[in-house]
Amino acid sequence: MTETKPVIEASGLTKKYGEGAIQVVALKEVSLEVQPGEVILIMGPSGSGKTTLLSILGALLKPSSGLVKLAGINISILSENRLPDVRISKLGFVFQDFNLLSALTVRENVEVILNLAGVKGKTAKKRAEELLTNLGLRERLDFRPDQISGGEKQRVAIARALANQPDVLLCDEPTANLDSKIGHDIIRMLRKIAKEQGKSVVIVSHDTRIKEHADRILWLEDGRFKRMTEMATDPVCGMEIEVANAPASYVYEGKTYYFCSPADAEEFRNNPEKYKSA
Amino acid sequence: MRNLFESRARFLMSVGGVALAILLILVLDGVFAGALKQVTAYMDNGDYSIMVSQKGVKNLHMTTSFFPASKVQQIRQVKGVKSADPILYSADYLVKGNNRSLSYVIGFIPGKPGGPWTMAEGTTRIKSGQIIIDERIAEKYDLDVGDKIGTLGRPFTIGSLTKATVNITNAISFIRFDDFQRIRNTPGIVSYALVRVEKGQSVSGVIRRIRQKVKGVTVLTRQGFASSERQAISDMSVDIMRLMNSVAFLIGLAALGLTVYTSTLSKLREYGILKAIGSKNRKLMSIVFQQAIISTLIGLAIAIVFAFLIRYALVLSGSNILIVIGTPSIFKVLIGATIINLLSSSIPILRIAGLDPAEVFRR
Repeated sequence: MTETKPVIEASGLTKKYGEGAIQVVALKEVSLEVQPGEVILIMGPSGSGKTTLLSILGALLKPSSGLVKLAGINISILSENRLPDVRISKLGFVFQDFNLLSALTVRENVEVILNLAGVKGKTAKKRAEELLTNLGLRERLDFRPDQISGGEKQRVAIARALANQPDVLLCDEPTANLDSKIGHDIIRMLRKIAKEQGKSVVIVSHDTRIKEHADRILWLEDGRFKRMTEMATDPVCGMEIEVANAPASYVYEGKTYYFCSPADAEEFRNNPEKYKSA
Repeated sequence: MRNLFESRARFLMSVGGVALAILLILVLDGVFAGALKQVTAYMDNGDYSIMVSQKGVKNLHMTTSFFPASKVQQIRQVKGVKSADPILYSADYLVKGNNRSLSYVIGFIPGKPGGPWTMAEGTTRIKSGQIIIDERIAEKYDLDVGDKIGTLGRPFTIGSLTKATVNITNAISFIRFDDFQRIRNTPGIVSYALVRVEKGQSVSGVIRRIRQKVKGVTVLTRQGFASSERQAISDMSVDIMRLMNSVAFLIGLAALGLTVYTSTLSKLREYGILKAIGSKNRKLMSIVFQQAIISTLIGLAIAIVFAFLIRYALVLSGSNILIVIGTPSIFKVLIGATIINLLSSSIPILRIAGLDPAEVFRR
């Protein structure tokens, strides 16, 4: 059996903002390894440090302490002016708001990233067309972002993220602005890319529907990874809650439901048929 | 580039502002250059090589020059001089009823150098009591050959009409030398001597010899005299021209600076995205700079086209204003436009340089 080297090796990451009394510690001694082809889902409540972690892994932010190796390169010690080269060649970004350039066509949005990496002219155009065609956007090449749907925008963003054949895709809430079906398609697409192309995919999301597509789920809370306890979804408000610490629970038709508050449990009890499929 | 054209209204405002500023500079420069060209028309079109004036006098504008006619005779004796002909000169008004037009009045000897060079009607060989005025002055006062107009305190009959002897400040009118002498009662006095040089003689050599042999006069080439005239006018106008050019420059700077700045601000998030994805500051700055350059060049091209259109419109309308758009003017606005470019790009460039790429993950 051959041992694969992790694409991302992060150890002891701490990030502090501010100083003295107003200091906020966003990450506390966080360590993480991601293997090639692995899909990691990082979940956690708002303010838990997910964005900070993603920014550090994306070579956008320097940790206060700890180190990050990306495809063997220790990016924590690289100077600021060398980080763009790492980002353009080793990383692909997928954002919640798609973040496409509004003045450019779908094809140009992908081409521009290739251009930044030094791929120009017909080669860049051909590569952009190939990527977009593979993601089902052949008919949309000359459309502008405001002329395509949310799902199509996110596929353009994925094509853009893949343009320079990065080792890692960092996805920030990639399904947040999409409806359920399209969101599902996007996640399946990301998983397929991970498995077929060997890319590591790190997803930060609140969307519990993604869980089934992830190889590993990490729970970040108060700047630390916590042991992933059994989680359940409150059928009334939709929030993720730890089963062991759920403020209320109720058994209906042989199944136990967990709630983030007694009020939600009460509402469920009054009309279980309405919520049981949630 | 696409960003620049995305908002057409903003792009048009930017280019329009730059074009307006450059147009202002070009037209002001053109009017000034045209005025300078017009004010030396008398010297530029003369059939002589050397001008001799009273000692220390080097131009016509706002000066008087008088020296004894005997010196003209002395000049004629100098080796290499083909001819030396006197003229009398005074600045005065052409008066028609209650209307007055400032004019250089030249007293010349018909058939000799110093008279008009292009005639619109009639000949230069006028009789005593006659005057030659510009056709535009005649048109302005609804006059024709044979009508009366006053100058030097006397009425004159219009004998002929000239072309191109009106400039932005005054006209040039011609009367006979003997009429001028009689009216001013200055026998034996001349204002200038216009000298022609014999074939094969160098102008500089003749000037040197006149300076040696004739005392109490200033001797210059015709071109040197014209240059001195231009310098005198230029010195008087330079401050106001600088001021107006500065205003135009500031208009251009404000128009382009504001547009580049607002355009950059409106796309700040997109610049942040590009930065996050891996674009270097240098690349993003060059995008902003290119946008400013494109706006400036388009503005410059529009301004040049409009400046020429204004020039031809003035010619067609028969205006006294001549606009001369030469290479120095275009070179000057190019330098001005480059400075506008650099300044207007600098603030947006600093803004982009300070942009935190991690912002793309913050909502």
